[in-house]
Order: sequence, then C-alpha cells, then structure tokens
Amino acid sequence: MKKRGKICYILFAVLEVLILAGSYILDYFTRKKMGMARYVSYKNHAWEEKYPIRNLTNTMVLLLLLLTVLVLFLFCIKRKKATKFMFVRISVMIVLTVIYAWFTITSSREIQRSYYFVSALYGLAAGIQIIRTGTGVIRIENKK
Amino acid sequence: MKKKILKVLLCTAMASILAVGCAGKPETTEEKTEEATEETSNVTADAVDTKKVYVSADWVQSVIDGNQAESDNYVILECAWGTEEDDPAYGEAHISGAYHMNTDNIEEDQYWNIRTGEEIEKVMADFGITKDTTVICYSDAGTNSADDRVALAALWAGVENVKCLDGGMEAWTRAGYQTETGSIQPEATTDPFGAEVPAHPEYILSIDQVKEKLADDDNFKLVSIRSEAEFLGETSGYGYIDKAGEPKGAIWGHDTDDGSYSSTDGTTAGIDVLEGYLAESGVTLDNEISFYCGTGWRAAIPFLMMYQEGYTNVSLYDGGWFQWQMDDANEVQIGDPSSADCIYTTVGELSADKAAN
Repeated sequence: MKKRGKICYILFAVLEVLILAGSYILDYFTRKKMGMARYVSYKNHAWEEKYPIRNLTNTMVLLLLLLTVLVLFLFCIKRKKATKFMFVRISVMIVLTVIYAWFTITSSREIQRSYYFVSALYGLAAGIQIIRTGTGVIRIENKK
Repeated sequence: MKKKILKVLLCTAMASILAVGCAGKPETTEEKTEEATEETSNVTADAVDTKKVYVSADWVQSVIDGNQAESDNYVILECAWGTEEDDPAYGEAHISGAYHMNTDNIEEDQYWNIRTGEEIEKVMADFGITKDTTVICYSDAGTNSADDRVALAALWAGVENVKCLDGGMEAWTRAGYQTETGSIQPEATTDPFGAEVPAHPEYILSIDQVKEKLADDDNFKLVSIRSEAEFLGETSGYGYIDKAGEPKGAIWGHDTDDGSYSSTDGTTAGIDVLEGYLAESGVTLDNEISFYCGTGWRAAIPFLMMYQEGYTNVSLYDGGWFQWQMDDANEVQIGDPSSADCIYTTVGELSADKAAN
C-alpha cells in the first residue's frame, strides 16, 4: 500500500511537471510558429464565442483559492502530526495556486496569445496539487 | 652594468616598435577596406514608375546610396510574422536601415484581415510613414508573401509609392550588397498621414461584398490563389482550418508558394503568366477580378502584379477561405468546377477532418 502510494505520488508529481513544461512549450511555439499562433487565436475566439470565458476563469480562480485556503486550514489544525514532507507539499500547493491566480488575473488574451491555454494548464497543475495535498492532510487524521 | 641597461632598453625599444608596427597594419587595412566600401557603394539604376511594385536589388541599393528621387524619403521594411525577438533572421542580417515589420501589426487576429483604417494609420505613423514616403518591403524569399501583404496594406492605406524587393533577401544576397546586424527601431512621425485611411478601400473586398458580386455580377471573377489540393477540397491547407473547399463560383489561379508566379531566378513572373492561368478558366484581365487565398497573403502577389500594370479592376478578398468556412450557410464547391464531378453544398455539410498536418 505504501509502495503503491509512493508510486502514485511520483506519477502525479511527474504529471504536474509535464503539465507545466507543456504550458511553456505551448507558449514558446505560439510565439515562434505562425501556424501555432493562428491555431491558438482561432481557439481563443471560438471559446470566447461559445462560453462565458471570463466568468469561467474568475470562478476557477476563486474555487482553487478557496480549496487552497481550506486545505491550509485543515493543515494548520493537524500540523503537529504532519511530517516535514507535508510542509513541502503544502508549500508547493501554495506556490502553484499563487502562480495560477496571479497569471490568470493579471494577464489576458490581448497580452499573451496563449493565455487561455496556459491558464488552464497552470490551473490543472494547481488543482492536482491541491487534491493530492488535501488528500494527504485528511489522511493525517487517520494516523494515530 | 651600463651595457646591460643599454641592452634592456634597446630590446624594449625594438619590441615596442614591432608591437606598434604590427598593430598598426591591420587597422590601416580595415580602414582602407571601409573607405573603399564607402567609396564604391554608389549604385545607380534606372528610375522606376511610382506604380511599379517589384523592383530590383540594384534599384533599392541606389535608393540607399541617394541616387533616386525616392532617396529623400523612404522606409525599408523587413516583413515577417512575429516580433523582432522571435524573428532571428532580421537580427542576423537585414538590409541597411531596414525596420522589422511584424505582420501582426497590420492584421487583426480573428480573421487575419487587414486592421481598421485607424489602426493602420497608427502603424504607419509609428514607422515614420506618410502617404509621401516610399515604402520598400522585402521578405526572406520571393515566394514568401509577407512583404506583398504589407505592401498591399500600405497601398490600401494610401501610401503612393510602394515597392517590393523582387526575389527578397535571396536576391539581395545574390547581388552582394551589404547587410547589417542588430536592431533598428523605427522613428515615429507626428506628421499627418496626408490622406484619409484607407485612401483605397476598393482594393479590399469584404466577404459580404464578394457574396453580392458573385450573385449579381457576371463579369466578377473570384480567383483562388491556392494549391490544387486546396482548390479541389482535398485539404484546407492549414493546421487550424478543419474544413476544405472553395467559395462557390471560384476559379483556380494557381498557387504562389510553389513558384508558379516566380521566374527561375526567384523574381516575380510577368503578367503574361497570370494571364495564362486566368485563361485556363476562360477569364481575362478585363474581367473584374478579386484574388483570395487562405487569409490574404498569397493573393497579394497577383493583385500587385495587376496593380503595377495599371489595372484598376482588381481587388483582394481579404477573408479568404478562412473566413468563408466560418459560416455554415455559405455555399461552397468541392472539386473542379469545370468537371461534372464538382459538388456544390454548404459549409455546414463539409467534413471537419481536412486540416493540414
């Protein structure tokens, strides 16, 4: 069980790294390749027409911030039982959430063409970290 | 002791003389080379008509050297998509005095159509261009239509004298003229443009204008400047366009990317070549012609070819296939319209698996 847990942990960590790397690569090619830039622009406009995208992004930022605060709150309650490693996970969660929220709020499609894609990927990485960390914090209570 | 001191002094003196002498020679050679370069860069070329668009490297160099009427007021634009930072070609080598022109400056990012008159007027001002400025555009190669696109936008805006370096940077390099590295930022002008922008709205047709003319004007011909595969509906030609086909009623005018409009030396072919392509579909240069492609780059080349020959019955349908296929109700043709196999349908019925890889 512990071994499987470790494997899962590593897999999800790698997934987060790949997601963040993917956001960089996507933005890089959006700036370097006209075909990619036009594809991204096409999708930007399509999404803006189809969905209330501003409301969606604001809602997601709020949701992830609330979840982060909730996990932090639970952690504060149980921090005496927490391992040092849990502190690291909490820190990574805060960093990812702050990066996601800061980028999503301060940037826009007009500033960065790949904005929607990058914001979604940042949000995905932050979301995965919140779930992983939150699960870990909840499980602290089960250890006696 | 005295002899030793004298020997040391003598050796030092000799070493100094040698050092100064050797260091001096290369500098002198370089200075002579620079002087020689400055002295010999005095290219002359025949004057060209204001309307003529495609010009030789010799002519452009003669402008730089002050030997043309245009020498008093000109701007050279290295045209490519992307910012200067993302376009290493500009920084590595560009024509002396050229500014980098990102085509995003002249195109909006929804349909990739030419921006509004107000926006283009600002771009012109930012690059120090008024209607009286001679604008010389170039790309990396003759088949790259980025410069043609910018040239069209400048003409549409109202610039009276617009040139494209025929054959692009390849032609410049072949001619052996100087290039420089690094970045030059354009000097904006506060002078008024000198005309209402756009001064020539008739050069560009909107999708609605094209539909109206296709329906009402038998003399109007919509000419596709795309590959045969794109024209026949086998591929959209673009990774971001899922559907393939052509507006109903379009005829094929051949592609520019495959060199169909280039001579063997990479320069633009003559009007007779265009005339031949049009004749394949029973169209002449006397018809009212609107060229289009995917998003308006390739189509700029035959437009400019006709423009410089003095034709006024020519325009560019800016939205191209990209904008046409966005409306499910738009009528399309799949296949060769001269054959019985051609299918006529609407965009909504097209399959969405024709994006280019």
